[in-house]
Order: sequence, then C-alpha cells, then structure tokens
Amino acid sequence: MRRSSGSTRSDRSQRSRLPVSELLRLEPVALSLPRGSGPLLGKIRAALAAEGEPLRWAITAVEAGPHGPELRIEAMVMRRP
Amino acid sequence: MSVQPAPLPLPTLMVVPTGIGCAIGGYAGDALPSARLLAAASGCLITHPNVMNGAALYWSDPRIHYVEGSALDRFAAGELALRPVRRQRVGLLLDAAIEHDLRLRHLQVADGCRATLGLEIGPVVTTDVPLGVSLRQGASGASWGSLERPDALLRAGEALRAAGATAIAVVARFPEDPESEALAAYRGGSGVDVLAGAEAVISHLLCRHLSIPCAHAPALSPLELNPDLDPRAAGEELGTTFLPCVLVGLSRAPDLVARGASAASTAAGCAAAGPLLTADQLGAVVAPAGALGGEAVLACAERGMPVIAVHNPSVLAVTAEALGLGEAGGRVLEASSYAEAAGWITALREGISPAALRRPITQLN
Repeated sequence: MRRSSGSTRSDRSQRSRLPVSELLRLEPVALSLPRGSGPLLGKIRAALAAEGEPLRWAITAVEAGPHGPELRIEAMVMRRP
Repeated sequence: MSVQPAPLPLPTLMVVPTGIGCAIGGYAGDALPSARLLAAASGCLITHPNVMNGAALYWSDPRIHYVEGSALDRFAAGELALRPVRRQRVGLLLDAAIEHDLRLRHLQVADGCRATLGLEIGPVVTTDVPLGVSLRQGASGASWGSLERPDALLRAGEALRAAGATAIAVVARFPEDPESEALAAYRGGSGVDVLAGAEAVISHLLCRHLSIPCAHAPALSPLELNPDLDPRAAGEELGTTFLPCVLVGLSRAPDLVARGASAASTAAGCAAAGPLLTADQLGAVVAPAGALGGEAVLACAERGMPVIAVHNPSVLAVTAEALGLGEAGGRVLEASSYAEAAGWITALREGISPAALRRPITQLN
C-alpha cells in the first residue's frame, strides 16, 4: 500500500521545529549591465545586491547595446521579510 | 639512476556550470572522466557536485575535493578556505513531499552506503512542510528553479546541524512530466537538464545558510526503459534514487572554513586530513569556453590566474572575448578538449611557460 509521506522509521527521523521566517522568498531576476572595461565582478555584485541576496547568478549572454556590449545576467535572489 | 621527485601539486579549479547543456558534464556526472584526468595532471582538483555526481555512479579520489557550487564560488573569491577531512557525518534531509515508498528507497540507499561503504550517515530529518520545488528555464535556455518554502529547508538543515551532522545530503521531491519533450531530449543526449537549476538553488541556499558541505539529489519515480538512452544519461537510470553519489561525495568533502576563523571553530569532531587549501594557492581554473561568466571563473580571472577555456559546447556563448577578459589583463589558454587542458595544467605544474609550447615564438622586445 502506498501512503502519503510519513515517518515509518520515526526512531531515526525527527521533525524540525526551529525559527526561520516563513516569509523568506526566492525570486528570479534578469538584469542588463554595460560591460564597460575593467573587472566585472564588483559591478555585478553591486547590481544584484539591489535586488536581494544573490543565491545563484551567471552572465548568460553578451550582446551589442547602444553604448557598447551589454551583459545579460540571470539570477535567483533571496528576499527576507 | 636518480628519480626526479614529482612536482608539487598545482591546485586547480574545475567548473562545469549546471543546467546549461554542456556536451561534457551536462548529464549524469559525465564530466567525471575529465575530472579524473585533471586531478592526475594537477595533483589537486577542486570541483563541484555537478561534475562528480553520476546518481548510482561515483568515483572517490583523494586528489579531488568535492565542494558545493556556492561554496566553490566563495572559495574562489577568497572568502572560504577548504580543510580536507578523513570523513564527514552526513545528515539526510528529506522533503516531506516524498511519498512513502520513495522515501523508503532513499533510506535504504543510506543504509546500503553505511553497510557496504562504511560511511557515517545520520540523523535523518524531514521538513515540516513540503518544499514545493518548481522548475523553469531562463531566456538563455539555462535551467532554473525555486522553492515555495525555503524556510522549511533551512529549518530542517539547522536541526540536522544541531544534531551533529557535519555535512548534509538533501533529497527534494521534484515535479515529473515523463512525456515532456525536454526529458526526451535529455535522455537522447541533447538539451539541458531541466532539474539541474533547481537542484543548484537548493544546495546553494542550504550551504550559504549553514556553511557546511551540502549536496542535493532529486527524488523521482523510475522512468520506463528507453532502448535509445544516451550513455551520458545512463547513470541516472541504473537505480531508484540519485543519492549514492551524493553520500559518497559528501563523506569526504572538505570542511568550509571562513577566512580568519580558528581551526577549533569549524566542524568539531572531523579530524583534519591535510593542510588548509586557500584561493591564493590556486594555479589555474578550467571551464567551458562558452560559459566563463560565473562567479568562480571571474574571481580567478580578475586575480590574474590562468583560465583554461575548454571547447565544451552548451546553450551559452559567454566567451573570454565577449567578456573582454584579455583586455582586462586575464590570461586565457584555449583548449580544444579536456585532454589538451590536462596538458596545459601539466605545463603550469612543471613551470613550463605556455608560450614556449606555441609557434611562432616572438622575439623579446
């Protein structure tokens, strides 16, 4: 018989009950930034920090923009209450 | 006859980003042979679960350090050091959404790894509510995903750490669509792994929160037999779970040590098995030539470390040229294969200038 999730091995398993806010949310973000010259990491981190706490990100394309190459960035950020 | 001593290891970072359909490393741990080769060439390879995890298949090599992707980024940025250990106590975190029989399969895998491989596994904690995994793809085609209840994941992780786990294997119930075109393409050896992006989000979230080694395995029902299965995806169809490789990888994953933290403040109970590894010891980073726009590669490139850009097609085309890495002073070595990348690493390890291996050689001044 198939049952819903449960703890038939309850002696080895325990339910967690510690305070982490239920309002914590993960949100996808897409950004464009001018590539410019020089190091990229600092300016990408600064741009993502304005959206939340970056959890995972990558430059997924570099495309021609009106003022030079633009970085397309896809990310997942965390937003706390 | 005197025997030349082996040169010192050249700690090397290997990155194959998850969920972008890399021809090598976009499937079931199919970059593992390349990782073994780079480990042999370098004597010390730091890489992430996407490279090493072949579901039922795995490989353990003391020269390879298994580091969750976000921890690897922080290591490359100099925020974390790695401390090799003899063993970790791997806690098992199960999503409350996993059905009874599938849950039992995972528990039996954990028992099998304890009995047959001698791993230390436990305790087991189940989330207080289902995690609610969802999958999506970005505009680039890369896979992404999310959780409805990230708080439940973190609560369960905290409970495991409080109960003595020094590393965490997470198993989340993933949505299924056995008839989907994306799944058919993946099993046929094309397209991206649509699960991979959500897997990375889960392990990044937990690892960032707890700063202990973490890795993820999705819980899924077995698929119908496919006679045309691509060999690169076969590792995921040998068993009923994706968990064995995660437990083996985590069992000797290095501790994550915040820079400046004292040794006593990290993972009490795990005896160190080697000196601390830090980013300033790294000698090279190896990544797909079209996927150089990640945090670890950029951190290394911006410190002037050689970037070995390997031909390994994916859905992305973020090259050294597109990023202007050469203009910014980066040192990029192109490789047509991981075998050629191993040659570059051997040259760097031996102190041979890469320029001396190319023609023409220009005159000084």
